[in-house]
Amino acid sequence: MKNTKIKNALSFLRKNPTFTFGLIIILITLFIALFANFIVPFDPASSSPKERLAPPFWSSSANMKHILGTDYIGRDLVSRLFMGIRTSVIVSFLAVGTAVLIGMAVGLASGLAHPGLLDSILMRITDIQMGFPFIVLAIIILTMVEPTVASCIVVLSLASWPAYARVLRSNVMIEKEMDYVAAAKAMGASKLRIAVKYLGRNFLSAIIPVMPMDIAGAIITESLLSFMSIGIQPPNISLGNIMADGRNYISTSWWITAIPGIVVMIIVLALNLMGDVLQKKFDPKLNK
Amino acid sequence: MKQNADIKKPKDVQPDVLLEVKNLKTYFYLPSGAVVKAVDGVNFTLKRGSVLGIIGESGSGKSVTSRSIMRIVDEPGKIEDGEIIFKGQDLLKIPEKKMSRLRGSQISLIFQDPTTSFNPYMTIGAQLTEAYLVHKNASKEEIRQRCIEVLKLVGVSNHEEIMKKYPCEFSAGFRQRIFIAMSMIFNPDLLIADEPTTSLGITIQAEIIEALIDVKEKTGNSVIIITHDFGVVSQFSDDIFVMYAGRCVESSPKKQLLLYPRHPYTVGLIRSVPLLEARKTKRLKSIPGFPPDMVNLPKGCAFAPRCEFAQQKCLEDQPSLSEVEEGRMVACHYPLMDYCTSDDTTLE
Repeated sequence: MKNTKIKNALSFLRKNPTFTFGLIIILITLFIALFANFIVPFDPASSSPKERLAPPFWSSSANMKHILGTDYIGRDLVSRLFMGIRTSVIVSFLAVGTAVLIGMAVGLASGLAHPGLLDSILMRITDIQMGFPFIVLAIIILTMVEPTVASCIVVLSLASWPAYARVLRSNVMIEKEMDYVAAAKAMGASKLRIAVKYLGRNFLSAIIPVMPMDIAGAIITESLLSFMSIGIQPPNISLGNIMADGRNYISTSWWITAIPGIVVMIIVLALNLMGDVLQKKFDPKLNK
Repeated sequence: MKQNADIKKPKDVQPDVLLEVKNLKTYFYLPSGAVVKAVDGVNFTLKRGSVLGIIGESGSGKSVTSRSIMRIVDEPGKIEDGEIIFKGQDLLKIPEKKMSRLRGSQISLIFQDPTTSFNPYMTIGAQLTEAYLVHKNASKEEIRQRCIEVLKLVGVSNHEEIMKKYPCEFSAGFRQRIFIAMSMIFNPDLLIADEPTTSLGITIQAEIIEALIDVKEKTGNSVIIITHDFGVVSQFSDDIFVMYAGRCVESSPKKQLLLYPRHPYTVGLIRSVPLLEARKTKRLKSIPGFPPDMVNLPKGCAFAPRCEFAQQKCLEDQPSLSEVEEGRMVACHYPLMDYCTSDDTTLE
């Protein structure tokens, strides 16, 4: 049984090289994110003014100690990138996780309450959230409260929960009329049990393919907010922070800003590749 | 199938009453303001260990009756009045929590369409386990043992393999078998089968009814079987209860009802059953007209507009259920006291 599962997984990977490619990059990213503390070659916070703005390895004047060069006070860019990936990845994963939880709770509640007052209230809140330009909302919130890591996670999760809530609500509205839900009721299952085990669980297939794309979106938004210095604050390092650090030196030391940007791009690309394949896999109409 | 007879010892069959439904009224309040009286004053009693067949056309309130007993009537339906006395307590008065503990453990409901009554995302094993866990915490091994027991009860073998599969991998008949097994997990005293064979093929219908009879014989529980098929009730039940437009029109022991129906509607129903011997008859006799509009029920007897024996009184005055012979209740002003199906020339 276990062997066939592994075999199935392997053949899926072989048949979908784009997914495999994305998965490998994400696994590397996750490895860096989890073990950044141990694999950084230098202390990402210690500066050495003598080596400031050292160019990366391809330049003739490169200092090979710092493969990707250093920033304006001589901090090693590789080390900072690793720590940046760590923060960005953790923040965006947690943000999407929070969004899924909020979205599922709201979607389930309003789907079950449909038609009713609670459903109307929850859906109007969702509509407002969807209609409000997210970046404006993020700027307002982050300038009002202290921009800590936690508040960043909350703000980022605001971007994607309405979509989950909507998807879940429509699915719950369809499925709650099904016989098997009545059968569960007749079996004596409580309302909460039916909501979680029968209705909530059945929509993972609608949610999983969207998650990589949302995580990608969260990484971009986090970088953007940090680049505007209203996201993750120093001394915490995020990919957006590093880019922001290089902003003043962009005409001479463009790589300080460009390299974290490229890293963001690669991670986002990998996540999107995965999301694409998952969407096809979970969509019975395309799964032929 | 008989070799597993020793799995469950039959309960002591006591002649006392298990379920008594008194004046049950379940109304549906439509958004337009209209009220559909889906069940309007139904009375019946079910003795321990006996089988009651409820028969009637679509929309006569059979399923709503069963769902009312389970108290799972969906919005906008509401149980308006009546008593459902199960083992001495009124199910309509106990709190919801207590009721949900009874569902599945003491009263089980088998649904009409086994293709939709299973959660398509869970394996058979997971659903059987789930049915168990709703009422009781137990070790994996204990649950597995019980699942295998109930699967054996309905004549299903190679359990291991079946429990790992998903509902979509089985035929409808097989799924219905598994559903019966699932509803038997706690060996309920009352099993309500709501048209358990309607969506199945004719040979599978016979198999499922056989499985139900088998389960009933082995466990000795009481069964309410809801159907619109006389074949099903004639095989299975002790008493028959004929429903029309949310009311009971005739209730009687099976044999008397099939041989000497007293209500014109029952006669019409029996006449409309195709008989193998009657192949030479030119046309099957059907009841003229349609079931009444439930929003605007006629003033008198609901069946009067379709009844060939109707008289002026039938159109004005609603007949109430009264005893015409011992153990036989008929709601008709002019019951057919001399009718016998074996004399009916249209059936030959």
